[in-house]
Amino acid sequence: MNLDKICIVPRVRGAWEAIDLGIMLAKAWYRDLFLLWFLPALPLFLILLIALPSEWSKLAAFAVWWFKPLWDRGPLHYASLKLFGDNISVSAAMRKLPSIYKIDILSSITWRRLSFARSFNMPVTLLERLTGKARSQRLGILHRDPSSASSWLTITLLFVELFLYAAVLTFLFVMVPNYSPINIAELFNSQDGYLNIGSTILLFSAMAAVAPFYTAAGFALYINRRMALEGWDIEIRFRQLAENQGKLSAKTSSKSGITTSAPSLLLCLFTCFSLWSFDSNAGSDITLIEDSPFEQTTDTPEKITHIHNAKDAEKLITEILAGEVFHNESTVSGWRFKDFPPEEEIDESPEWLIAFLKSLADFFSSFDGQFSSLAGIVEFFIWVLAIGFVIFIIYHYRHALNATITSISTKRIQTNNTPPPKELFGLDLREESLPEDIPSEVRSLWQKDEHRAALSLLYRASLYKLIHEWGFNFSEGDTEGDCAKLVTLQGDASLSDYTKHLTQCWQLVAYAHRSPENDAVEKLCQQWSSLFEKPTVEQPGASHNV
Amino acid sequence: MTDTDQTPSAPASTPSTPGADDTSKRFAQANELIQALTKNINERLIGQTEVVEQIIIALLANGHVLVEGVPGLGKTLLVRTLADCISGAFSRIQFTPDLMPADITGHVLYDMKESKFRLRRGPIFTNLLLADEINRAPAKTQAALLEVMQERQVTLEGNSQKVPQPFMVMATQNPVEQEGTYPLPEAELDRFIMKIYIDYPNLEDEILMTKAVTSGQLDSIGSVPDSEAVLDTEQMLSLQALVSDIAVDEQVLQYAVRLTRATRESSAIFRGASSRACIALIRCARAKALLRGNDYVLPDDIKAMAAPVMRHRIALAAEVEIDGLSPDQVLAQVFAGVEAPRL
Repeated sequence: MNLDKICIVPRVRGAWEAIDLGIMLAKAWYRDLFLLWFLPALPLFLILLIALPSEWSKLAAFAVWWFKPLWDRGPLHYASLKLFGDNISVSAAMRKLPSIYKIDILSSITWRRLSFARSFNMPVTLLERLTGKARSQRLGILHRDPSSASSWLTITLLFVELFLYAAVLTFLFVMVPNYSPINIAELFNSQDGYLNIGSTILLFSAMAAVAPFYTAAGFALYINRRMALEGWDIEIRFRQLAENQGKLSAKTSSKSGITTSAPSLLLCLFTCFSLWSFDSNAGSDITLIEDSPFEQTTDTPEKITHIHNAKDAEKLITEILAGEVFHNESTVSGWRFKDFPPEEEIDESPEWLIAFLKSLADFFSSFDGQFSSLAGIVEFFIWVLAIGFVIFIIYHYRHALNATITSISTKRIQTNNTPPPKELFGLDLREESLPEDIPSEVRSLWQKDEHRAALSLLYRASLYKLIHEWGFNFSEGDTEGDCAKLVTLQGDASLSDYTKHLTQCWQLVAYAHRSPENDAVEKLCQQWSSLFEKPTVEQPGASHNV
Repeated sequence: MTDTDQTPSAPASTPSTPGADDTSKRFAQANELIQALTKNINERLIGQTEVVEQIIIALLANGHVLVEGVPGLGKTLLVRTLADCISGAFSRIQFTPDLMPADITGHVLYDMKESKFRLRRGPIFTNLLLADEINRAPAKTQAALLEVMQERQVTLEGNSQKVPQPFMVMATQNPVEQEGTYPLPEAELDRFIMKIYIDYPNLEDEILMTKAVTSGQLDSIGSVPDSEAVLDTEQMLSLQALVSDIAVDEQVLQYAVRLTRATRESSAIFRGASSRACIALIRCARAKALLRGNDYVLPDDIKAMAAPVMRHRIALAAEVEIDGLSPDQVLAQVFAGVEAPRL
């Protein structure tokens, strides 16, 4: 990392301003950042999209979403190099990806996956290569200021992704004429293969489109935080001043006195800030890795020189501060409010709570220092509460969840086997709703003068057979006549004759309220046995949709 | 093949009432008359069997019909032929842009000789009225038909004059896209029991028709020499009365209402069919059942009649019109989603 080549104006910004800066950086390098995210993610997405059944294709998008911490690393690596003037190509960055992906991979895609400050934390893992306690301490320092902004960044861009996805779907919906049976809800929740795959591809595209902004904005937040902590902006400014002064000194070496004292003072101040910078780095236990873009922060000969002159500088500063300039006394008269001593704030925390927390802290401090701070204890309790809440929700809605899972699996089986409907035209078409021996039952009902019930049963049983065994697909809008025509179109003479005759008998009893002759019904019963009680080898009507 | 051919008559049933034989006899006679009428018209208007069936249904249902088609397809011939087959009074009005309402209904004039007002009845006082190219007259003139179509009477100088029974207006119109035409007002459209599209005949029928006219079997205007009326007005009225006796099951009635209401709920339709459409649908379905030879209405009758009854009563949404969909296409989509009755 060479601070002199940094391509942004080095100054400390507010968190939102830093996010704006990240967005601008993403816009400037969008194509490369996009490719570095999109190209590694695409194979996984395509493989899952092809391998999974169409109704499960959303899982492909979910998998890509879950592995986002990996896909975001390429753009981050690229942005970290570009920021400090290293013109890396996409192909060169792509070659680095395997080694970048290996860094702390397990934690990134498991317990840290759902961290809201992921984009802000990622540079610590990837660029500083910190792990374990060192990482936690470093994050503790970094998170003191902009952690809420980084969380909001994650939430906002998640919504942007969803808005993009919904916007494209809505656009398509708007372009579909009103009278079309397609509706937006169907697009979102469709089990239809092509619609499902299409909406999954849209989801993936939305993630790829937003990812460069997310990574760059998180990185800008991180850089901004380091500028604030380590005074990069001041360091860079002093370096520039020192450089300019060096050039001037060479030209005006004959001059002396006050003209040389000012640069000396600045140099001293610069040295002080450098030392402070080193101290803050040392305090955070940063381990600088050889191939890290951030490795070149220290140990230049120029700085070592400054370290040797630090005591002299401190002495000089003390002398200047003790001089007359800082000790001028003057008397000023005028009206002003009296200064009253502020009332002492009463600590409202009860003693028992303090004692309880202290005892807890002592208790947890025994666990290898994992809960050494009060924040650690609170975090532990929050996690316990969160896990408990999830368990409670699962337990409370266990029946609903079970029903949902069962319905999904049932739907899957149904989709795969294109099962016939259980109810159509208000008729119960389940096998269990029909008696074992249809003709006998029909004859029995007929003899009891329950003519409508008898023919209704025969018609329902025939429909059941036509749908389940002959593969006919009748729609809700089909009348009895339409069904009979469809069977006639199929071409089986005996079946179509039977259906036509049965339909006429049924229509007579249902709509004319007259009963057909006994012989006609008896004939229908006999034909029913011969037509439907033999095994059907082929299903000629299976491809015939109404 | 027509729908009538596809739907065979009902199987033999056990008589349920003592008067069933009389009813069967009446229906058999009615069926004979209708078959003769159909045959007679089909002989002259070749290749339009479905149109002929629909116009007979409208006649039996005691409604008025609007026949639409491009010029030269026999719209006027169809109506003239029907008039020839029924021995009633027949009038024809050629609608033109300068036609006045009084030219249709008639007017009162002062007789100088007798020094009193005399009523001169217009051509509307007839049994069958052919309103040829009705959409060539402006709305004011078209509106002259409103009262007579609904109430079968004409008000002249404050006096209501009944028109003879049976009364039927058969209007023809060219597609409104053609120059010099005016769209019919909605209130008038709603008074037509059905709108019949007349389309080009198929190849075989067109060859047959050309051969019949050029060989002198039919004259150039389609009339058959020495043709006789098949029905008189009394028979016509009795047939219309018989239609009212045809049974409509509750399920079938509800199905008709559901179909009508579905047109009001579809986003593709800007204005759905009215309650009058629902009543007309039942009447037409009854007539169709009679044409089929049955004394009860099937859901198939309702479904078959739904499009002709509703196609002129609905207004399509703008985007649907822009996409070039016809009312029949939209109605077919709507009806496909309406559950048909079963039990």
